[in-house]
Amino acid sequence: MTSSLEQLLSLRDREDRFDTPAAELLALQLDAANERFETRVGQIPLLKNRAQAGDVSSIDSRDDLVPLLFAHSTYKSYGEGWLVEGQWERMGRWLQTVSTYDASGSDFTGIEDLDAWIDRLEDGGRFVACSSGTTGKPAMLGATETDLDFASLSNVSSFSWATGVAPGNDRRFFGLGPRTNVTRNERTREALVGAFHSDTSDPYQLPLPMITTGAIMSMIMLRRKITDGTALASEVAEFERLSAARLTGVEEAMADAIDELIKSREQKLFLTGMWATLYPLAAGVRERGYGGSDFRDDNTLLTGGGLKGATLPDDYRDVVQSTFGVADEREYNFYSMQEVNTPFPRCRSGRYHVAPWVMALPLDEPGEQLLDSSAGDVECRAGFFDLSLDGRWGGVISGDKVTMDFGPCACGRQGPTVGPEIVRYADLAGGDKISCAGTIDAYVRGSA
Amino acid sequence: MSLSAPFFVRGVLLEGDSVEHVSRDLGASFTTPTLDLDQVIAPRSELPPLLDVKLSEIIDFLVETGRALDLDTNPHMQECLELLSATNPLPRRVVENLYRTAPHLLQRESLESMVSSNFADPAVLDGWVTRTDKSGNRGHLRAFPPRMVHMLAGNAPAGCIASIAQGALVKGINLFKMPSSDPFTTVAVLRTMAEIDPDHPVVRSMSAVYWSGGDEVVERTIYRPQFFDRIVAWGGGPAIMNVIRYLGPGLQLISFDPKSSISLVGRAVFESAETLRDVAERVAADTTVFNQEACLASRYVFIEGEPEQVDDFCATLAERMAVDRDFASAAAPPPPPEICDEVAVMEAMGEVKVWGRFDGSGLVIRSDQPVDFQPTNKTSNVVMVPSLEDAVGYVNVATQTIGVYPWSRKAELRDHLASAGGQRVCRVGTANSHVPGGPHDAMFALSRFVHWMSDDDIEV
Repeated sequence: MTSSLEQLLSLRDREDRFDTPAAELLALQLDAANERFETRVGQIPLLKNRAQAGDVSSIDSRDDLVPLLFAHSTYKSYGEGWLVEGQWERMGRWLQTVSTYDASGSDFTGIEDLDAWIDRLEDGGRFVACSSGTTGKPAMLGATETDLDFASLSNVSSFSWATGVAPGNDRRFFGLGPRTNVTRNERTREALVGAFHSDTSDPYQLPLPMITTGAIMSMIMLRRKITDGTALASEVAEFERLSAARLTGVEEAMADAIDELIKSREQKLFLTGMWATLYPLAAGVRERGYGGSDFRDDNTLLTGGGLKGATLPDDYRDVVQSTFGVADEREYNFYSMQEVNTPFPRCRSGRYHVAPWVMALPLDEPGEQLLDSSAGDVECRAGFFDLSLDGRWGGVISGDKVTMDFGPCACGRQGPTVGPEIVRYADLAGGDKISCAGTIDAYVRGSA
Repeated sequence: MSLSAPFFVRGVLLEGDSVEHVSRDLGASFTTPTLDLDQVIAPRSELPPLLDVKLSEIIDFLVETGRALDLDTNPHMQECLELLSATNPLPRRVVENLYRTAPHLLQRESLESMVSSNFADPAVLDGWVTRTDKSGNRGHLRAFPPRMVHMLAGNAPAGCIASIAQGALVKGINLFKMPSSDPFTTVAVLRTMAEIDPDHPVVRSMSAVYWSGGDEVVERTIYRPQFFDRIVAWGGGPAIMNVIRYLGPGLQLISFDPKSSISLVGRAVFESAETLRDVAERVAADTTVFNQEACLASRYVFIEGEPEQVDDFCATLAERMAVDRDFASAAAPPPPPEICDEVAVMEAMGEVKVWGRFDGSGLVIRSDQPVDFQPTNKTSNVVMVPSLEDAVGYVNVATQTIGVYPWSRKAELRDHLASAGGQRVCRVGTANSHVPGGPHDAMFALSRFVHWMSDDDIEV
């Protein structure tokens, strides 16, 4: 007999997966949550701690999940000094406390840097997604082969669900963002290429040097030295030189991409990238006298996230869509976060649909209580329990302020949805804070 | 219902509920009158009201104000105490204690020492002081009153009293930008002054208003050298980053930067059980000031000793952090969940040892390197070091107060601590006490506030 968990996960590619009322799924989800909880509580020490502190021994209602949610910071709770000093065995023991796999017993002799440490772990099927933030400790999220498969394949099928475009290997794939050497991101890309890219040409990749975790580490280490006051002026100067060189590299890469887009205008395209890059590319193509009817009208676009601090004209989306022949319905947008394993695709009514194997948890701002969502759209801190996660705990409390609605969506489907307005609480804090207490972080200038 | 926060504009109380705001920390709503920028800016064509008022007279008036601020008899301060509980995270009892002690800043001795430590000859505040060079040329000098915006800190409700005193002592034209966590106290103090003498030039030199920090409509308009000479900022954070954009020739920022403080404890602490208890109590007192919201509150303890000894110290420190004090509550708001999680993970790994609890009653974390997060909400990170000299490596330009035990080691360490960026050493247990007239954040602020005007009288 298949378990509740298996039943839910088997819905991954089902056409009607985003069309079940939340209440109908709840019993199955709670059962599956218990299945996860029972195995994980013995594997993840932090979960055991939380369960004890919250007096949770089984998950009888969604409320029982609230004290068991992990914040993003959980995945950066190691000592930065261990990373900087290359204490890989200690890092392994840390990873073990927030993951389901055994990372502590490994042999890390001969490991020289973070990239090598991650490679060594991956040899044993223990994947680590390292976030690319450069202004602080990177988060490290453990994942297994199962997670990478599930994430990349559910992304492909979400794309098809949202755009109506089935995998057909009949498009040219354009990767218009920087590439990272994070295996999870690479797998996501490979799955899209495998599903949609035609063999008649090579997938295009914006020609920027790959962002390696090692490169990120060197930025973090320099920042740490600046903070300590031990960085030499010449080290800072070298860093500034590299940053400037990287900017020049971006301009050249953009010019290359513009050329390639124009050359490929008669092919069916599968574009991927962020608005902050897509807009200047569209503007560049326009400047060269192309756009609109020069491109096919059935191209697709995969994008996500906001503007990431970029300032673009109000009509940036129209410009990108109309330049590249991307009709509104063939633009795939999704909401997700590093800590969950599942993308939530946006429907034509502009709402993000939560998959049946993910429990949407509308929380109060401190993240302590579940909010009543019976009366429709509720403003909340987003919490999720992603039942698909295998390599770590699926309970996540996000830093996002969203609205959640558990009623039917205007697009006609049932099931929980997240509204289009998503803001980070951190960005809401505003400019009103003034306090005499603070840290050295306020004294470290620049991108280092 | 909304709380009403009146303005005080150049001696006049302005009431009105036309604008609604939300306080930053607790999300309470409060209403203010409409901000009329023309009213709060005194044109440069008018001489400052305090220009010809003798310093001694100003000090008399401030001393009288200090007496009138007595919480038992002052209805404005009493009302403020009630209002503040809606907007300020500090417990009512701590705010009450602050209101009771802050008027000491307005004692004569304290005010006079502020002046004498800032100005070699305080007569420069009262008029033109003449000096003569070897050739007989005379230079006349005056510490001319500045036009100042004071951006008051949100975490110290009585801090405005010190700012009002500073603004009055330099005879400035003062605009106080109140924080959303306390849009009340400054006006209550100024009202008290106005009741003593509504026409007093000190009263006419003061305005206190609120706008939401970062409001470009206000800040782009008024942060100009034509209107103000100095912006005095008590603290750091997004509010400062906003102000920095408007600085330029003629408009200077005098910033009391965001700071952290630490304790250094030598192995002499283990000489007797009594000493250990006393020093732990002193470190606890330094750590918990304003429930650790203050810059001078200790966050890290660097300690010499064997692990078992340090464990004893940690256990006692955790006990002592859990008690009620004048400026701290037994149960502070609990540390943020990120801190709790990080500590829980480290503890599960056996990397740190933990005493106390995660509930705001006090948490002590022993480690061999400082933790990466900033300890807050009554959290102390006890870091074992081979010797206090090694702890100097952890001192940086953000380090303010450094409490030391035994006292004798202050003198050994202080030059190194200053070179690393530290600003003040003291005996552990006295972080919140100051010798009057001392510098703050390594500067004598009053002499930087004034507009040093010179009249060079050279006979050619």
